[in-house]
Amino acid sequence: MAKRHLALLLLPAALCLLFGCDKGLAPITEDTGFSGVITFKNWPPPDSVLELRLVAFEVYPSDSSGIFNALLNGQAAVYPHVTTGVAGALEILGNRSADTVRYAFTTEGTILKKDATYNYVVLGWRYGPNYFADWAPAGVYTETPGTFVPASVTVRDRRMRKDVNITVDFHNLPPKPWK
Amino acid sequence: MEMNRIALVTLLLVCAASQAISAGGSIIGHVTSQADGKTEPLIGAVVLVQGSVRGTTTNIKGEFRIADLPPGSYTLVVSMVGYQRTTRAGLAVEEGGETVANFSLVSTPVQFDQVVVTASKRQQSLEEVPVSLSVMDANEIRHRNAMVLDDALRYIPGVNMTGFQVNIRGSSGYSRGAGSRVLLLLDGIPFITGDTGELNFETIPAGQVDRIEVVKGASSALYGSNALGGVINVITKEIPEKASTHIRLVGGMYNNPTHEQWRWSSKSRFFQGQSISHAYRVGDLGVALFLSRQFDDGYRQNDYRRRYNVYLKLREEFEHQSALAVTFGLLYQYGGQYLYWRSLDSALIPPVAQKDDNIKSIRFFTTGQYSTVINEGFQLTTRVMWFHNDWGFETRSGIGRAESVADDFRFETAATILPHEDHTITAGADVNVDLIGGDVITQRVIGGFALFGQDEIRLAQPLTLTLGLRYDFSSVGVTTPGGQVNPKVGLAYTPFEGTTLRTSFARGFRVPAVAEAFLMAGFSNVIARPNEDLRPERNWSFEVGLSQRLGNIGTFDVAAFRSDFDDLIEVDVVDTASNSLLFQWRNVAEARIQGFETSVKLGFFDGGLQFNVGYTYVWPEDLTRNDILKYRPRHLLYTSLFGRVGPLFGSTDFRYISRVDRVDDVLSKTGVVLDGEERTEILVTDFRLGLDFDLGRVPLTLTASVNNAFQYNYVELIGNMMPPRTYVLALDVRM
Repeated sequence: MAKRHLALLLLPAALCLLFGCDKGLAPITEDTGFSGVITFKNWPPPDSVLELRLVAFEVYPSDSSGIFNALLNGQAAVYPHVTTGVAGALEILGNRSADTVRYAFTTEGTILKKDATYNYVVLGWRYGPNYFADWAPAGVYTETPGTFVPASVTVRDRRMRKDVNITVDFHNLPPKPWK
Repeated sequence: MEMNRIALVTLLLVCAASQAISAGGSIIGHVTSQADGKTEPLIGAVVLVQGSVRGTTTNIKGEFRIADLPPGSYTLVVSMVGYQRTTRAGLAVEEGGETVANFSLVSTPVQFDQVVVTASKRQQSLEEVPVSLSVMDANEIRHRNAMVLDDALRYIPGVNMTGFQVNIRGSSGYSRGAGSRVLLLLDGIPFITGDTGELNFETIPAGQVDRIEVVKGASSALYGSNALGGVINVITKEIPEKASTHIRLVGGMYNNPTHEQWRWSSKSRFFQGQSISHAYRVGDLGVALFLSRQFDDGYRQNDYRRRYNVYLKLREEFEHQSALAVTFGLLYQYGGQYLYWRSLDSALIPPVAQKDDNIKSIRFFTTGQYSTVINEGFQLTTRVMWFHNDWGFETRSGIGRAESVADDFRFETAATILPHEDHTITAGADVNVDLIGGDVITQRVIGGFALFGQDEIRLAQPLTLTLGLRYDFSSVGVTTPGGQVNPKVGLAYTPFEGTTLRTSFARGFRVPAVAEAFLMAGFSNVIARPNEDLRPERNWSFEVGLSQRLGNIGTFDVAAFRSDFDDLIEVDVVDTASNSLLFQWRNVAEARIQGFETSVKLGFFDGGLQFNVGYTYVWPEDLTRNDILKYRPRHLLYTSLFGRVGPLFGSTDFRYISRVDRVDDVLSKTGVVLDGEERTEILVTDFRLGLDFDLGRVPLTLTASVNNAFQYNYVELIGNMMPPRTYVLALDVRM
């Protein structure tokens, strides 16, 4: 009986030790941006994968000039940023052979904007030597599985959205939205 | 004026009626305790004549006298906190004679059967009531160094606070300071501000509180509007026989924030309070005066507070157990107005636009209570109150300066009648009138009246049935004037000594507070819009419970409860234009709140070691939205441990409150409160150490506390970080 009473009396101390040392809320230390997993299927021959870049557009691009205008006026952001060379970008995004790649697209080192909504997040694939013309969408972020309907991603300050996953099937590419 | 005249005539009639008591015999005696082989008189022990409305308390010598008893045979019940209740039957009283009955009470480590007054508006044993009722006494309040009374409520099982709003078993949630689903009583009188309908604990002098009784569950059948979720009755101290002075000095400081980026001030943040109370008697007149002031730098920017309280109580005792008590209380307070944080990264400073907002309040109340025993089976109590509230705030942005003035007048007369040995009837009527003025709410006069009755029927020796009914007529003007009938059925069954089964079924209702219907103001970018279509909200409340003594060392209590709400009033956003949030109170939801609660109290070594644990599970459903109700935590776990060795005592409290599932998401989604969705479970531990000692012939108590000892960072209310680790030193001097 005495042991039982002692156990009861020690309960508050035990609870203190178990839970009390957790500090609760803390300043947010997350990066700003979004992240996820890119899943690749049916890689083409390595010599036809010249470059891969993840691009987030605020406005769905309807023509090729819209793409470059968006990039120039900051309405689209590229990951890895263009200061990362072609080889470096390829290595980050699968190295032409990976089944999956985990990525983190943040405001750090890119022109991704906080408190902005990106309506078209696409993995761009350059398959030929023409830097301005030989691009195709390889995968698009969608919330409707089995389709290529773009879904929007809102970037919030000091928040890292972690579920922006993209599937890339080189035998079943999304439609090219631009002319 | 007309009401004052009616009150005066009633008082005179009652005084005259009280003279009708015939002379009879008396029971006299003294009440003592046995401690360490010494016999000590017990001061303030409650002595009740069973089956009658008569009773008294012992004086400074432990003596009592109950006079004017008709010849017959009586049973006396003597009780006092910390001692076992003692009953003595067969006390024969003869005409003109004095029957002597002396009592020696045995101390108990755990209080089994406290005398409470809130469940039925009369004195009765806690074991007789058909509802869940918790009691916190003055020692518990004082040990916790509660500067304001609501700090103490955080330790009562089933009760949690959201900001300054009290939540009993998930009933309240949070409604931005307007309206309350818990009724606050001060010595039995509703103590709710006339304009905002909120519970204002700051006006109540914490140092003058004898105990707090908390009734859990709908109590509108006896108390009317607001008692949907329960009733908190704050009972002030009796004036002692012997002149006494109590000085209390409290000082402390807030620890620096855990995270360096939260640190906004290079100076330490302190708080301090001083209070003095003096009570004395001149013949049959007792006087108690209480003065206090509290200065708090605040641990958050622009959250400082300066508070002054005055409280005066006069009590004149007349023949035939009649007494008139008059009280006056005043609060003057000003300080910064902290609504919510700038962001979680700047959790202790307000948004720039609010950094100079301030608020000032002048509140006072005066009450009168006259109680008299007409005869052995008839006691009448009449209460009047005037509660004046004047508060204003100033914002740098938004609407500038605004003020609200409200005068709440209340009158109540209630009788306890024992027509038969198996019936105890409580019946009465009350009237209230509120005069509202100022800029915040348009000028208006509102009010209502009520009739209520309750019969506690002893069906058999261990079985008591309680039937109650109250009719309230409210002319709040929210819609059209209307009436409301609230019934109640309760059953208490005591099959064995120490075992009580209880069940109750009751209806509750709440007339919307004036602020909920007519407020048209706001702080900064959070602005209220009136809603004159607001209707009263109602609920049906059911409870079944078991209370069991655990030998001589403790008690165990378990209860299951359920409340079904109609027309629940919630805050709804009506517009989010221009980065401002326009909101209003609306009848938006049908809701169901159900759960269970269990508590254990254990005591050893004559109370030298006490352990309490209480757990409450609440499942609060918004049936309209098929979602969980906002601001209702589902799990509450409170534990406390108290120990005393000679003059040294110590205690620890631990509170776990689960993370609130749902809050006002719109505040964070619209950017009004940045990071407003950030919240966590609450895990707070307090430690205290105290020493009783004498300096010369003056008894002193020194208490050191560390509240939130593990510096847990949490919010109760969206965007409102609660205090960090806080060091408190208190010195009590009694003369």
